[in-house]
Amino acid sequence: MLNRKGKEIPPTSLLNRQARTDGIYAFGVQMHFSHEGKPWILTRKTSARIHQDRKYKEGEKLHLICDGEVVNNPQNEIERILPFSINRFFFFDGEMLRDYEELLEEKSSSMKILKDSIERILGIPYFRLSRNDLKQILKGIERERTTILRRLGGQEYEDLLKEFEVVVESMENLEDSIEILEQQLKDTEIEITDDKRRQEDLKEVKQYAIKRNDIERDIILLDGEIKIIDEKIKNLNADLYKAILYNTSNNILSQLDDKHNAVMEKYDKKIKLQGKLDEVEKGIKLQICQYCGTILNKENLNFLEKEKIILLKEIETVTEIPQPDTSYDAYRQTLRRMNENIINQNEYLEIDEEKNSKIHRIAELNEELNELKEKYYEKDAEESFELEDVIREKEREKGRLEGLISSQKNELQRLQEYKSELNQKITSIDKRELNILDKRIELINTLSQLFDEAISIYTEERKKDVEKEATEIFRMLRSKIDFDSLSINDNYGLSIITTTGESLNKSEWRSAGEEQLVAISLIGALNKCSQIEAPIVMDTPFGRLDLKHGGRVMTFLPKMSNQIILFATDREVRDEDLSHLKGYIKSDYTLEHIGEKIGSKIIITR
Amino acid sequence: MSSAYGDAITLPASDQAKSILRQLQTKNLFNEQRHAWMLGAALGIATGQVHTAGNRGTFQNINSLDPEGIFAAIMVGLYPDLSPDDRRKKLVDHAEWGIREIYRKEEIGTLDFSTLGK
Repeated sequence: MLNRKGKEIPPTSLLNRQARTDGIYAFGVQMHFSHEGKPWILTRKTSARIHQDRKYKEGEKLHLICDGEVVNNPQNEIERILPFSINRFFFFDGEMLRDYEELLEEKSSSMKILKDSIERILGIPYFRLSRNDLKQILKGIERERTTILRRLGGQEYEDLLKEFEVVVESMENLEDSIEILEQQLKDTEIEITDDKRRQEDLKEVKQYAIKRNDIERDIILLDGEIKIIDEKIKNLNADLYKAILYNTSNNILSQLDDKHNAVMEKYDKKIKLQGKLDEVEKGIKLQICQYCGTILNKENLNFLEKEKIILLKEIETVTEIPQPDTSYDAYRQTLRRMNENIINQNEYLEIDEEKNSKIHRIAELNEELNELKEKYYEKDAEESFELEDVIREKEREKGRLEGLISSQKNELQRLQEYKSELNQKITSIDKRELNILDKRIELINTLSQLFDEAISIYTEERKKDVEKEATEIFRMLRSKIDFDSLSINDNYGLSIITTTGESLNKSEWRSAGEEQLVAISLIGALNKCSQIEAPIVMDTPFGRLDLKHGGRVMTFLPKMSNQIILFATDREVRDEDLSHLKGYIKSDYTLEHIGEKIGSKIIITR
Repeated sequence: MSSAYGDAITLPASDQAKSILRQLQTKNLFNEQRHAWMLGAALGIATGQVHTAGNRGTFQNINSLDPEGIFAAIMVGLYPDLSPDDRRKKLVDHAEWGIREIYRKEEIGTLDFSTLGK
């Protein structure tokens, strides 16, 4: 089991947590598919007595059933159906876009590896195998001719034959040596590319660290802001009781007002009566009317005496409380003050909204942080110091290998010419038995040449097919009309050709989205031109595309292969986007995360 | 304001109410337990609900629980004919109910301060 970077996934990390808790150390996967008109069932499973990677690996089992029959040597059969080396063209991972971008870098060493994969998908190696078979046949015939010549000519041709054999042997040794050196060169180039990529990643470490610090600081700031909001809420809560008492308070206020008014009315009456009594008493004492100043006679004085008695009685009735009861007034004041300082409960809504947006932002930042940490921990900072030296060493080794290959190829060329001279001498010997073999050798040489030319022509034609298909797809996906077509180079790298005929390579595109469109165009074209038919599985294919381009890619998908399996998030493919795939969706499933222990379950959405 | 509650200087609370008040404070909803008590009392008064069961022990000073005399004014207004002691007991009954109600809403996730008491 390999991860998206081609590294092995430890089997222990694949076991369901619940299963582990329950002590069930077994897991597996079964795939049902149709191929060549037959139903197939592929099962991979493993079990172990203890939770250890080694034990799981020992317990690995692979079964393949075709049309009800168990297939012997299932791994070989899987390799026949879909060779591992070309799986990248059927399993497209949007998050691994950089690998696809490598497809577009003409100078990339990885391109050379990918070139082999591409040629294999186009069926080119079959011609090469045939040509190599011819070479083997040629060698056999040459050996046979030498044997016959030695028998017929005796000592006469011995020197010539020995010379020929030495040349052939030297050539074979050289060819073997060149093959080994070329493989070493290829390996070295791959290593250099990997090291350079790692070096590039290590440079990113610093950037990751800075970005991580930025995000962590943002999270701390947001946490602080949330704490301030919580304090605000608590402060509001401390006064919330007043808002809740508001209606009750209003009702009570009106009651208290009534009571206060009643008390004040009594008091006012008493004051008035007291004033009147004072007037009457003064009038009696001075015997002068206090209103008009006339002297009062006896009858008038008697009247005032009677009025005084009445007033005293009335005052007595309102003197239960000598001073007005101000406690009601104090309660009223308290409640009035409270009513003037009521909090608005809508403030909570605004604060909640603010708090929720901050919590949401923190969740986003944490997600970003986790992704960043994942990337960050993949890098080994210590490597950065050593990597440069390693790369330089490997570059030197690469140069040495290239020099060796070049000199050996020159030597091979020289031997080839010498062999031709010797061959001419041998073919000039007029013996009937030899003549037949000579004709065969000539035929095989002609055929070999023919195959060489055929490989070249076929490769060129297939390349043109890929270019044509890729251009057609690209035109469906592009948004810039002045991007006219795609041009393919010897390494299957692609350039954009503008309407004015200008060729743009990757460095001039500058847009990650356009790189992805070109990569999708190439992959789509390769699938169309492929000798192998298989479904395409795409994971997060629209991650770097805007809505318009995402929609175009979606519209194109049904044309890409007979069956497409899309793994997309709800952000990548929204409900309204499904209109692009209308009529083409066979099944729709949703992966729902249940919990840490149980994991996820698959729900049939459609 | 002492006339509203007589000569008492503290208000009691049940053990359960005290426990709830501690929890509400721990949940970071209130700075002080008395704030939760005041909200509970207001809620009980506004809805007319009381909780009378349970033994009660001293909780806090009246001046802490009613610093502005708002509850005194409300209680005198609502219960003018009750004796100060009965009025004080009634206020505590309201608070006991309100505190439990806040906690109940919090437990079931429906505590919404923007609509509380409406």
